[in-house]
Amino acid sequence: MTKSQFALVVIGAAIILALPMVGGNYTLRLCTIMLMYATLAMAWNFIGGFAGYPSFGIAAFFGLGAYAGAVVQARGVPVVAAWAFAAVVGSVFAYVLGLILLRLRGHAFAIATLVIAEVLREITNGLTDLTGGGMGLNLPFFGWGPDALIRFFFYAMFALAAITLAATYLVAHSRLGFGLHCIKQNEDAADIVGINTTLYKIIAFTLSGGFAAAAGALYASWTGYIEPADVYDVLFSIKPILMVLIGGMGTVLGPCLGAVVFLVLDEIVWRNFLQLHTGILGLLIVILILFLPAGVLSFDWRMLFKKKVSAT
Amino acid sequence: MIFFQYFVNGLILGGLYACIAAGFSLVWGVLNIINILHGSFIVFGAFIAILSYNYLGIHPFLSVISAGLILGALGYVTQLGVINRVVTQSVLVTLILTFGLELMMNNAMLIAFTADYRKVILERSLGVLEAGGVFIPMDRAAATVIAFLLILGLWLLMRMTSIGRAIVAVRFDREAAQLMGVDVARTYAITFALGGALAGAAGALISVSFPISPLSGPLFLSKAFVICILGGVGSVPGAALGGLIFGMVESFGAVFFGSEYALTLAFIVLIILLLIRPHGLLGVKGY
Amino acid sequence: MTALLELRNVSRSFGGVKAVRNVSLTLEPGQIVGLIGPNGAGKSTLVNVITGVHPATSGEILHKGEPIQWLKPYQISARGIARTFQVVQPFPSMTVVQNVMAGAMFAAGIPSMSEARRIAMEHLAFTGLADKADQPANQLTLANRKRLELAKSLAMNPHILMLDEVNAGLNAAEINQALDLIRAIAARGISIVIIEHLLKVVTGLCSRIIVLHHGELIADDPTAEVIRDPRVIEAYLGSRFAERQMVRHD
Repeated sequence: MTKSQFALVVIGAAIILALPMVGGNYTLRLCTIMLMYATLAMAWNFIGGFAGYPSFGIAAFFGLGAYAGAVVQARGVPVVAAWAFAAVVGSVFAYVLGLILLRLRGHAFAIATLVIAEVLREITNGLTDLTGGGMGLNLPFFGWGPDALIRFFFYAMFALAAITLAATYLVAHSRLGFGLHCIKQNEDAADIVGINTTLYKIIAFTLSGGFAAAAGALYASWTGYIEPADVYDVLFSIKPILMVLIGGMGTVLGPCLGAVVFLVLDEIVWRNFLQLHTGILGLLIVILILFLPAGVLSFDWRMLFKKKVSAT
Repeated sequence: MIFFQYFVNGLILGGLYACIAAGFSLVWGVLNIINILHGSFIVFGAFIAILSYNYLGIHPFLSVISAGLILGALGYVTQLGVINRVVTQSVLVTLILTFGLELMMNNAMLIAFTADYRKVILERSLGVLEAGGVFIPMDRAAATVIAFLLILGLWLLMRMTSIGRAIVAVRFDREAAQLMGVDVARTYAITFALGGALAGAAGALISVSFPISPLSGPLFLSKAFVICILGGVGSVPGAALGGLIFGMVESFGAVFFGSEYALTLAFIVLIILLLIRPHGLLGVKGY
Repeated sequence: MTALLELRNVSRSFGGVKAVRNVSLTLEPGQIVGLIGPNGAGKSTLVNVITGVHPATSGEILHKGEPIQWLKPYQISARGIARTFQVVQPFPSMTVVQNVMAGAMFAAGIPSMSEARRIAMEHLAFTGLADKADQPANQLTLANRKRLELAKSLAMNPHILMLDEVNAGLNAAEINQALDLIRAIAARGISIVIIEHLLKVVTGLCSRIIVLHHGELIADDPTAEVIRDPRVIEAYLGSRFAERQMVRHD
C-alpha cells in the first residue's frame, strides 16, 4: 500500500471512530449500514473481484449467518460468540458449496449461486420450529438504552469491516491473491503454471461466505427481528456487486469506496422518493451500469486510491 | 384413471410453461443475456388481457395479439436503447442491468395495478369437457393449444424467414454475421422483441387460467430458468419439451410433495442439471 | 536406469474417437526430440495427456519411474514438466514480468515474491524480453508473446519442456531466432519435445523424431532414418510421393 493510501485509511478510520462523539443517531445508523455493506462488498470481492467468478449468492450467506447467529442468540449464547459461530457456519457452508459449484463458470455459476439463496430461503421458511418460519425470529432484547445500542453496533460493524479490510489486504498481497488474479485472467493457464486452482477458488469462496455470514449475524442482532424474505433478499446479492463495480474490482479499497458512493446515492433516493424507491433504485442501477466502462472505473483521481494486486 | 387427470393437467400446464420459457430461452441463447425483466413482461401481458377484457370486452385470446405486439415493441425499444450498449459485456453487467430495469418496471406496475391478484373471469366460458372421467377445462386447453401454436410459429420463423436466419447467424458467430452484412444491433433488438412478445402472449394466455399480480413476476422467471436449463438454452424445441416436462412434474409432484416445496425442488434440479448436463436436453454446447 | 519420462500404451479417447492409440515411448535427459505428424494426428492431445489436461483413457505415464497419469496439471508442473501452447496462453492484462513470476512462484515453488521477480527478470533477459518487463502481456507482438510463453515455462524450472507449434505464425527471421533460443535452452540440460510442422526445423534441431499418424506412433528413430522412412513419407506427403521416393532409392 502506498503512503497516501495508508494515510487515507488511517484518516478514514479516525473520522469514523470519532463520529459517535459528533454525529447524531441518524448519522451513526447510516454509517453502520455503510460499514455493513462495505463488509459485504469486500466479501464479494474475494470471489468476484479477485477470482473473477460472478457470484450472485452473497444473500445466501448473509441470510444463513443472520439465522445462525439469531438462533443461537435466542438460546442464550452471548452476542459476540453468536457472531463468531455464524461466521464459522457461513465458512463451512461456503466451503462445501464451493466444492460443488466452483466447477461451473460464467452464467452457470451466476445462476447457481443466485438460486442458492432462494433455496435457503424456502428451507428456512419450512423449518418453523427452529427459525420461526415465515413469522420471523425475535432476538433477545439487550436491555440497554437506544444511544448505547446504536454506539455498540456501530463499533461492532466497524470492527467487522476493519477485520475484513485487513483480510482483503493480506490476500491481495499474498501468493493467494496473485494466484487468484491469474485464475481470473486465464484459468487454464493458471492450472498449467502450477496453481492449484480448485484450492484457491475454494479459499476465496469460503472467505466470501464467512464474512458475509458474520455481517448477517450482526445485522440480525442489530435489528432484533428477522424473517426469511428480509435477510435472503436478492438485493443483498446485487448491491455489493454494484459497489465493487463502482469502486474497482479486485482492489483493496475499491469495495469500501463503492459502498460509500452507492449508499450516499441510495440514501438520497430513499429520502426523496419513498413510494418510487425501488423504481428509482432500479433507475440508479441502470444508469450506473450504463456508465461504468467494462470492469473498472478509470477516472484518474481514483488511481490514488486503487491498489491492484502487484508485485512488490 | 386419476393418472390421466394429472396427465391432462400437466399437459395444459406444460403448454403455458413452454410459452413462458421459449422467449426467455431465445434471448439467453442469442444475446447471452439472462433477462430478469421476463417475469414482468409476462405479468404485463396478463394485465393487458385482463384490462382489455374488463373494460373493452376483448377476449384474452385476442389480447394475445395485442399483448404480443405491445410487449414486442417494448422489448425492441429496450434492447435498442438500453441493453445494446452493454450486450457484449460479462454476465455480471448484463444481469444487473436487466435487474435494475426489472425494479423499475415492477415498481411501475405495482403503482398502476396494485398488488392484488387478478384473473380473467370469462362470462362465456367454453366450459369443462368430461371425457372418460377426466375433466378438461376447455378455456385452459384452448390456451395451451394457442401456446403450442405460438411456439411452432416461432420455430418456423427461426428456420424459414430471413430474420430468423439472421438471428441464428448472429447467435453462432456475431462477427462473421456482421461481415456478411447482418445488422447485429437490429437483429438483437428483434430477438429481444420476440422474447418480449412471447412473454406478453404467455401472460395473456395465463390470465385465463391463473390469478396474477405484479408479485408473480419472480415466480414465472424462476420457472422459466429451470425450464430453459432443462430443455437447453437457446433451443425453441427444448423450451417446448422442457415446459412439458416441468408441467408434468409439477402436476404429479404436487400430489407427493405439496406445492410449497415445488420451487425449491425445481431449483435443486436446476443446480444438478447445471453440474451434469449444462446444455440441457436439446441445447447446443457452449453458449 | 529409469527413463526420465516413459509412456506405456497410452491411449486417449474423446467420445468414440481415439485421438491417441497405444503410444509407448521413453525420453532421456538432454534429448531434443521432434514430434511430427499430419494435422489431427494426436500430437497436441498427447502433450495434453502427459501434462494432465486430459487424463489418459488407458496406459501409464511414468516420470522418473513414478506414475503420473492421474495427477492434475498443477502437480505435473511442480514435478518439472512444462509446456507451451500452440495458441499462446498468457495472463493478458498482467505485466510481462508478472506472467513469468507466476511460473516461478507456483510451479517452481519460490516462496518470496521479490525472489520470484528476480528470477523472472533473469528469464526475461535470457529470452530477450527484459526491456518489456512492465508492459501488459496483451500488448506484445506474436513473436514476443511466444518468447513470453517460453520464459514463463523456463521460470517453472522444468527438466522437460514440450513446445507445441512454437513457430506457428512466425516469419523466417523470427523462426531462426526461436531456434537459437531452443538450442540455448537445450544446452542448459532441459529435455525438449518439439511439435512441429516444418520439417526443416525438425531436421535441423532434433536428433530423434517421433511420428504420429491417426493417433498411432508409426516411427521413433534417429532423424536421418525417419526422413527416409516410406511410411512417414506416405503419411506426410501421400502415397505417390512415397512411391517415387522408393523408386529413387532403389
